[in-house]
Amino acid sequence: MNLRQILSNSLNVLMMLFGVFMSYKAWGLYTNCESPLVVVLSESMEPAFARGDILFLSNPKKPIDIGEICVFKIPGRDIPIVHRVIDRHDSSKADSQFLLTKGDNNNVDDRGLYQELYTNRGKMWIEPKDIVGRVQGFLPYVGMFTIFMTDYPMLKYALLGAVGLLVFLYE
Amino acid sequence: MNNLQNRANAVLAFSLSAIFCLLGAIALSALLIPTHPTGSVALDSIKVVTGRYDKNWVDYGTRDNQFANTVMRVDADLSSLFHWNTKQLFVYAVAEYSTPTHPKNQIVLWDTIIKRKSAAVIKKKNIKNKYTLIDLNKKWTNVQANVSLHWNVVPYVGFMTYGHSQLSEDYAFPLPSGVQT
Repeated sequence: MNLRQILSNSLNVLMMLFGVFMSYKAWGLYTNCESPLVVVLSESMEPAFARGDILFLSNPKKPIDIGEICVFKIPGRDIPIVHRVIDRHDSSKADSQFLLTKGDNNNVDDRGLYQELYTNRGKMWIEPKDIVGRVQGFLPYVGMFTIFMTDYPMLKYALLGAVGLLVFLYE
Repeated sequence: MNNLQNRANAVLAFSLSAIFCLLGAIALSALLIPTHPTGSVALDSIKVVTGRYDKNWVDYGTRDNQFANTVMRVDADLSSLFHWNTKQLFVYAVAEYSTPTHPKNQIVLWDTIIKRKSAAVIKKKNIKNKYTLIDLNKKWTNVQANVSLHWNVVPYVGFMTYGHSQLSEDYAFPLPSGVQT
């Protein structure tokens, strides 16, 4: 194993990583969505979506329809929420909608969540600017991989170590 | 060349691409399978009451909000939507109306989750609205609403698809006829 081989291997690994990153970003441009893939973390949309399922998002131009499942972010809250739109009020201005959401597996709508931070007190609706993406597709289980990685960081380091080892040992 | 590492790598890569091709084919097949769902919703009564909404501490706390209470009947045969890539149906009845300030309003009145083909024929009467029927302006003056049955097919893998029945006739909201506390 000489230096030339190590450099060539590192180049291959980097090519692969950047390739994946670039396709992800290109896909984000195509779908008009900052994060076109999300992993479900909670049980609030059971039995449709379970923890560890992957959702494919996009942001089409047309207004959000009733019953659509949206991923939204409340200012000040880190984790985005995946819930279904159960009320929709479109004002005459374009892109101006007032939406109320609810998780299929929850007993109450999300107004309590909207209030959670004092800055949002009295917030009755979310609007298109709060929406990260709209669910278009579904792939079960595969997201468990990333959940394991965040739950057990050692796994992440082991994987990184294996890739590093590959750079030095692969011929 | 043909060491253990290379063989394992080839097997893994091939099985992964085979699995994803199969999943893609299944996802696409769901779009091609013909379906013929039918459904309808009708309102048997609408009553408007004024009051506040005490179940939920944040909203509609004053006493002058106008809530509508409806009784509806749902009639649907959605069994053709169950094919090999259908995990569940989310079925919901929607009221749609327009007001001078907001041209398009849709509110879910009732919903249900169907997980089996045998349960996909719905014939139900005397359904009360499960969710609050209140407008953004909190008043129901000169509003005509129609109702329709919508469904969302959640697949085992693939695309989320939506559909809905024809819109019903228009129903007029009456004047408030009672007080709700």
